[in-house]
Amino acid sequence: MALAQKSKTMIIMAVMLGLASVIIWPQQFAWVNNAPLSGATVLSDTINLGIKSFVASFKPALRFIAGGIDAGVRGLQVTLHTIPWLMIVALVGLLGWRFKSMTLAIFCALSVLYMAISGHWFRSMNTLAMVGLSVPLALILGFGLGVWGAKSKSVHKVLMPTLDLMQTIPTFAYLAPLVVLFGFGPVPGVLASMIYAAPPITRNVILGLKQVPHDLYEVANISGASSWQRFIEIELPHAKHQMLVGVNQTVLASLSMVIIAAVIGGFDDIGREVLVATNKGSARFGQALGAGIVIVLLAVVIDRLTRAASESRATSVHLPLYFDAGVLIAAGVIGFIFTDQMDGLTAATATTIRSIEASINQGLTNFIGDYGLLLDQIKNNALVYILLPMRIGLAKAVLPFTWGVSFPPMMQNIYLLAVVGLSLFMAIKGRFTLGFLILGFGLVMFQGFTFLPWWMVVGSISYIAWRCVDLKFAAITIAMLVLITWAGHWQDALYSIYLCTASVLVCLALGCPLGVWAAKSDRVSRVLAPINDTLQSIPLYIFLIPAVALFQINEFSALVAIVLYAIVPLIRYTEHGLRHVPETLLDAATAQGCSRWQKLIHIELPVARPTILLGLNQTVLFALAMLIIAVLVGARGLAEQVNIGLRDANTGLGLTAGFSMAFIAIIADRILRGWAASLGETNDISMDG
Amino acid sequence: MKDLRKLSSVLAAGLIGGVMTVSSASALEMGSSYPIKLAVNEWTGQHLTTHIAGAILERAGYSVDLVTAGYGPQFIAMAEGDLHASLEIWTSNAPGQFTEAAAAGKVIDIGGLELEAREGVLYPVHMKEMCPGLPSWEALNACADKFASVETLPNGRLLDYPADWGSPGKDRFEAMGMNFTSVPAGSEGALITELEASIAKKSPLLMTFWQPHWALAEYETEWVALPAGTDECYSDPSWGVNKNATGDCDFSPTRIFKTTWAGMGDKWPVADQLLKMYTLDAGDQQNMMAAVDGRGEDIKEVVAKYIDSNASAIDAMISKAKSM
Repeated sequence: MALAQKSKTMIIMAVMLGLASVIIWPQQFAWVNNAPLSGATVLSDTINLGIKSFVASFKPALRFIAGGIDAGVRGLQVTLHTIPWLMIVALVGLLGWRFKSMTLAIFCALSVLYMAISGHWFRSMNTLAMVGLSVPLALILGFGLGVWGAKSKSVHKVLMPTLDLMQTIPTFAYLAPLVVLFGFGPVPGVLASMIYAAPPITRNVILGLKQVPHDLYEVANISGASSWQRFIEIELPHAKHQMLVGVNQTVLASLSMVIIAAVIGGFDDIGREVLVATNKGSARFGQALGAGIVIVLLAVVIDRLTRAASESRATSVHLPLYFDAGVLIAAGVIGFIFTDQMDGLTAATATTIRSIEASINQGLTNFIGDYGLLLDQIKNNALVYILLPMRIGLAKAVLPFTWGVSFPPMMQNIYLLAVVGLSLFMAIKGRFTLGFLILGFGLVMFQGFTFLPWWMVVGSISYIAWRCVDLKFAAITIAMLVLITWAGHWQDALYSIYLCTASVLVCLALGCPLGVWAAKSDRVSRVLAPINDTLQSIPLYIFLIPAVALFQINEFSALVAIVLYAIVPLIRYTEHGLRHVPETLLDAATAQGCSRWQKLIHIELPVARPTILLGLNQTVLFALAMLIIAVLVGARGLAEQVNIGLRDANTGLGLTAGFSMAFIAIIADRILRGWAASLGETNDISMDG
Repeated sequence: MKDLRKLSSVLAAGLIGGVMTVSSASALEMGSSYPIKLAVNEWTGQHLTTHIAGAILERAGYSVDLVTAGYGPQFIAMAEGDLHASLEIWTSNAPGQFTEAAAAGKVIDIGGLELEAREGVLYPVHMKEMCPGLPSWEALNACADKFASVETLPNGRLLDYPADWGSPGKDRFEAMGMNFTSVPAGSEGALITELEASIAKKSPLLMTFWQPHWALAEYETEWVALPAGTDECYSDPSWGVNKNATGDCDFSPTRIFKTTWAGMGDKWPVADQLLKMYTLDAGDQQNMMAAVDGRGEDIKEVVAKYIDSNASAIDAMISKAKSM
């Protein structure tokens, strides 16, 4: 036993020394460091050809479908524009009141009222018309897939990775082919949002159907129900609650994607308004924000209403329905009769809101003027001491005019000796994981992410995949990474991984403490909740303006934009996890005389760790999604390739880069979920509905 | 000169008016209620160009739809006839989708907009205090370190166009051997935001930019005086500071052109003629941009004013197109 332990240590130490030497002398080991497959354009060329021939043969059929969807959107658009806004305000208020409470009613009515008086009514309704078509389509598609997947094991096997891809391939990668296939106008946006929004309902349908207790099936069989009857009478009602959770998620996903799809144009919607305002720089930040707030309100109202409807709590409203009808008709009649006055009113309020937006612009400009030097210092320090070394390595980043000192070969050797020595020491002590971590971190900082040899990346990621998931997934991981290389995206992928890692580390450093604070203080929690809601539903483009205005175009701005968006799940899950630590554990700790800190460090955080990891998982996925938008302020890598593909109609380039991003997301997602599951019971927010 | 031209076109219009009955075929075509769809891209100058073209077509009796469309993706739509014209395409950043659709004969370059454009490298005027020799390029090169940022040290930083527009600033500066490292901007909004932040902070900035642009009407900037971008410079390596490279000089003049769907001429011959004749003056466009973006006026009113003050010339153009 002791001998076996000793030889294991020896082997591991040999592996470590091998790793270290190959990294320290890259020239001598050039043969191992060269990428296994040189990037080829075969893949993207084939895709481009395939799309062309597909269009040639299926265009009439596809255009027929597109015509139907187009007519639907335009019909809905005309309807929404004909109905007086006062009537829609009343309708939303009544729904909130019937579904839940007067508070919700007032909130919803005021939100919709703001859309009218801020002068964004026309475009908001256009967006709503697109959502109005894409949601039913997503629900039909998602429900069908879900039922099929729940009934058939082989379908389930294919379906799961497909759903992952639908949610992780950036929409920009397939917008251009959608335009080619379905023509211009609102249809590509509707379809893109359908693809993105279907998976949540599918997942929840599968989950709901699987949760049907087994004895219910037996009851059904005994009573001689046909499989159709069983499905309608037993399974569906039982899975209903879970499905409604899915409906809520699908609606929100659809809205967010309709906004993103505005980049191709074709429909004068509110997302386009935000995009155009974003294009005008910080002097129009107020306008972009103003239009962005409309989208936030739209999302929050839809979210609260669908959730309230799905909970279908009996309210204290005992008035008959014709009261509602009366209110609606009254609002409609007033709206029609006083159309001109109403228009005058909204024009006046819109002017006021424009001037508020202008003062926001002025405020931002003043802030930049006053704090410019400080901001520059923050940016420069972050770039010089953290981001540059991570990207190109300490050896290249430490220069007299950045760090104020040089990093002579002598010092580099000492650094490397220290890293290798420390990791070997840990290995001798039997702490192999820590040893590898020190070695990995030390060498990554020395060499830089973008100069890492391919075998080390593929090797370590697939090793982690093996330990956290299983051997099969490790094999899949290797296959996916090799595909990325083959498509010619290896360097881009390394860059994307680097920027994503840096952003996620910042999210961890800021998000976890915030989550802990929110868990400990109800007041902080109440302040953070609406901020989190806003950060999550605001159109991603909006983050870019303050990031650039404060920090100019560089990776740090990209990082700031990514962190703003991706930090939210980490805060939420940390708070959620800590708040669900069993009382009994805490009481026991108190009885033992633990201080608040001891309780936090030794009891609460370890118990909440699986839940926090789920939050981290979400954060990683959000950061990858935000990379696409961060390209506009200085991020490079895969996301930049996707953007170029969209712009140049190079579908092959866009799709291969998009798939590469999806692969990275899937690998990260599986590993983190596997890790969380191995730590114990998780407490997922989304399962709470 | 301008007045003389106007006069002659009015005379021509009078003559043509006499033979209007001949053009009944085009009158029939005018009756078509199917709208001509013009693409509205992402920047205000293009909005004005398109709104004015739309107003001219409407004045000629057409029904016009202004459709928002991305600068790149619009050509997929135009190749299919889902969109019919896009009227402000810059050679310097014409998207790959245009090149492809034009090569396939599905989209046509119908001629220049005659919007006098300029591209170059510029800086906010406060940089003159830090680098007194400006705008001379030799002086700029000598104080490159004043323009440095931590990513580009010891070189200066040149903020170039977004990567997918190409990198003309970098190409010029590399050919000239300037002590600058270029950084691509992500978007037009990012470029402008940097300009605004630089002015607010009095911080260094050197960027590739273009005119007409509303930001140049709003902020004080100056172009760097590079050696003239002549044809010889772009064809003869031995010309200029770098004896081994072409393009070691200022940007070559940018052409801005109009494009239509290939089927435009058959479906709406008169409208096609009108769009071919349509031109816009850079000064006019920049003034209107300042009205829309600077003073927050409604674009429809700004365009209506322009149409009113040019009514006779436009009417002459319309009658000329109908007679062709």
